[in-house]
Amino acid sequence: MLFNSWVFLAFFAVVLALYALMQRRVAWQNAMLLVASYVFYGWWDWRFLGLVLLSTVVDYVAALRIQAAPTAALRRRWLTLSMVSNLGVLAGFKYFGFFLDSLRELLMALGIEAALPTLSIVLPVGISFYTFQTMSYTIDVYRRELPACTSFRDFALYVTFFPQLVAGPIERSVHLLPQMQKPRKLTAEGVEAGLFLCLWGLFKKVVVADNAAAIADPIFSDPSAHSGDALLLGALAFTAQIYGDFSGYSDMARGLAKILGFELMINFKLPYFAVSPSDFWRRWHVSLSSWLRDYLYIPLGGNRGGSWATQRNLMLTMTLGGLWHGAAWNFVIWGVYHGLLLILYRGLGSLPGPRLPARRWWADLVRVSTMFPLTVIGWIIFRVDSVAGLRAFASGAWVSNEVDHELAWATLAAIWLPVLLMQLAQLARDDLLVPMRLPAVLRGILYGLLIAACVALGTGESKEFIYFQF
Amino acid sequence: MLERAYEESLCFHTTPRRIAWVIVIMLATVFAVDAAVGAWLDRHGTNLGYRYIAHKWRVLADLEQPVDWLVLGDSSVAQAFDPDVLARDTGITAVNLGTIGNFGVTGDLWMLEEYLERFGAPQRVVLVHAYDVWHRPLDRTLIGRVPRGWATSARIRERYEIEGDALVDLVTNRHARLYAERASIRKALELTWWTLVKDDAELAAIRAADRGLPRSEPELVGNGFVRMCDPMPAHVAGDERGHRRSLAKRRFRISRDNREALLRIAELTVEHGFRVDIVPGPIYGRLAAQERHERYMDAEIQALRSLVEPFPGVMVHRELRTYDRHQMQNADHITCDAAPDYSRWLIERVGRG
Repeated sequence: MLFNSWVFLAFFAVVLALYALMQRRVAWQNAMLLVASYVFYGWWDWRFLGLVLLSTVVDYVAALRIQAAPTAALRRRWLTLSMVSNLGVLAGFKYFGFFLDSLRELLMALGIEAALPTLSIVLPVGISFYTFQTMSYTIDVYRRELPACTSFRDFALYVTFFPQLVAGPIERSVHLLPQMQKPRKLTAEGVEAGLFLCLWGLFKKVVVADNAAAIADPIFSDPSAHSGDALLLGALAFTAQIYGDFSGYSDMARGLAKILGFELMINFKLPYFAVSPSDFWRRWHVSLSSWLRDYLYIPLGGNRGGSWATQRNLMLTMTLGGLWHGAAWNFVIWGVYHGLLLILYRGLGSLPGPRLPARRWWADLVRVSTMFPLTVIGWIIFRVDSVAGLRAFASGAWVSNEVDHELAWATLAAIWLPVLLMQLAQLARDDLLVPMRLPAVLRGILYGLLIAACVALGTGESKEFIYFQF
Repeated sequence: MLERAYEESLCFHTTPRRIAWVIVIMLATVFAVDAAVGAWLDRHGTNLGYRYIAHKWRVLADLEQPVDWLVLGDSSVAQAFDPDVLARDTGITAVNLGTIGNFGVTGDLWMLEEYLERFGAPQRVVLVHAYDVWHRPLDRTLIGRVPRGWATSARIRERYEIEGDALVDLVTNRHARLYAERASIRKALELTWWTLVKDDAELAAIRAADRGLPRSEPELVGNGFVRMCDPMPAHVAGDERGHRRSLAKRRFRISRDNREALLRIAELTVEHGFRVDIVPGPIYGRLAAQERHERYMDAEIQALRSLVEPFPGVMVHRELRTYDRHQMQNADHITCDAAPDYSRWLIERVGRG
């Protein structure tokens, strides 16, 4: 059930109507939302509901046991059980086949014939999102940052809350669970902000991402057949696609939650205006990057152990962050690439010499103009599905172009222009909800134009969101 | 400057009543955009069939005086019969209301009914269809393109058994053009872009290479004539091969929609006392010379004649006017240069009455 489908629209209308009827009855609302969330998830494949339930039960029980455990050893044991269970599910469904394939290739390279089985396991939608979310809960309880949730219903809703279940934001228990447990206040401001986020997210998905995909897909499917500006076009189109796709989903998720009275964390903060690699990760997929920072980088020692240890921790965190995106080497390389960028920028920062001044627009322009191409290179690594493809990009980019892509360039510029204008307004007012400052008439016109654009300029195919596969 | 927290402020204030107002404006904007895009598509859309339908119904609505001849039919006659030629040669007035083949005789009937209601019977009604139109059922979605209130009425839905998915198609085609014609919108935007950045020769090459774009831009004249002036000999040859393949597989049969509409037109000749001439549209000479085509035409004419036999006011003509591929755009559509010839031939066939 995709957000950009009629089925979901009908589903949400029913949920919202029931939710409104149950005003001031939090327990009823939560029970209804829980059922709705299971229906939403089961719509893809009901068989994987068992997996979600398993993850929920294990972490619910583990957290209660951690809280009740009289000794540190016992607390650690229950935490270990939770981690092994969550990471085991993730490893089994997401990474096992990849490790086997990689091992087979390694052994073959060494001249060893190994009869390893070939696995084709269906990846449960959103598995990386909800396992990370439940893990953060158990760790928070272990760290005594949060009391264990005693209501199974509320905890199950925290794990499966449908707006963010399959593609995030990866919510922290300290942020979301308290919202599950107390009465929500539906405010007119929240409803309208939610409406805007839903429409803006839909626009980014249907108009920006899907149209950009129509440009990028043929080029990435065979990079060696293209050269020159076609490869650049493909790379920029994918840069637009992945932003439109993922931030569009996040906006819709946050908008739906806002309408229901929940606040989910902001997942994207104008990432292509990043001025450095570390700034990029403060803006892109914030819920994951902050998760990795809090539950991996800092526990590894963060930047407290000197230069070498910091670099090691950065590289390890980013490599695992890359692997989180998918069981394939290009994601690992992408993670390593971003790790190297972070290390390099840290190294450059510590060198003596002249610096670009802070708080000067032209200096920021220089920084953004440097960071943006580096981000695009990262997306090429992220998107290519083979080393040969990467090589084709590296070599073909310098060859003169023989094919006319005028229309594709014009399309890309046309779909990106509204996003750019909106982001410039958000930047200028330092407010991601800047359209809310417009008079009601202009807001209505803006929403109407967004709907009209989605209806008329969508590609007509309801495409899955890229991040569902992660 | 750019490195900062970026949060969402909810510093604005709204109320449920203001949200309702915003939603009303939002919906009004969607409807306004839909209407504006519809009007733009009627004039610049790449779906020429839809443009012809919109244009011809507009011509009918704009008609202030009765005419002597009412010429109905499909796009083959829309491009072939110029009422100005008739007026110049004979002083007889006419209007060309030919639309598209998939509207069939049903479209002819509806236009005739509206004309009769407004002006009474014309001297002559001429029905011109390409030979391969008679077997086609009415494309129900086209009904949504008729710019008249009754087009989606319960009477029409019942009469043409439009329900379920067909009804959804009809309603979206009628009331949600942004959605129903999004492919056309995309193509029309593309064409607008190309028109801005390319010269005529490059534009012609782009049109020829893209099947989603019309090969040339029609000039929709106020008397209903559609001027299409670019000959496309290569396309005519390819189209002829397609017709031959299709003829090899098909035996003539008139569709139920066309039969019922024709019989109703025949009844109207009795009720209102006018004459109807059914004439074949222009055709590529090589195709007309094919034995299979001749056999098909014989069967077609025989079937039509036997159908209208009880109605002496309906004449079915067998003669064909053929053209060279350099005078055509496909196997049954001629260029504006050949249109005066077909117009005069038609005048000759039908007589000066």
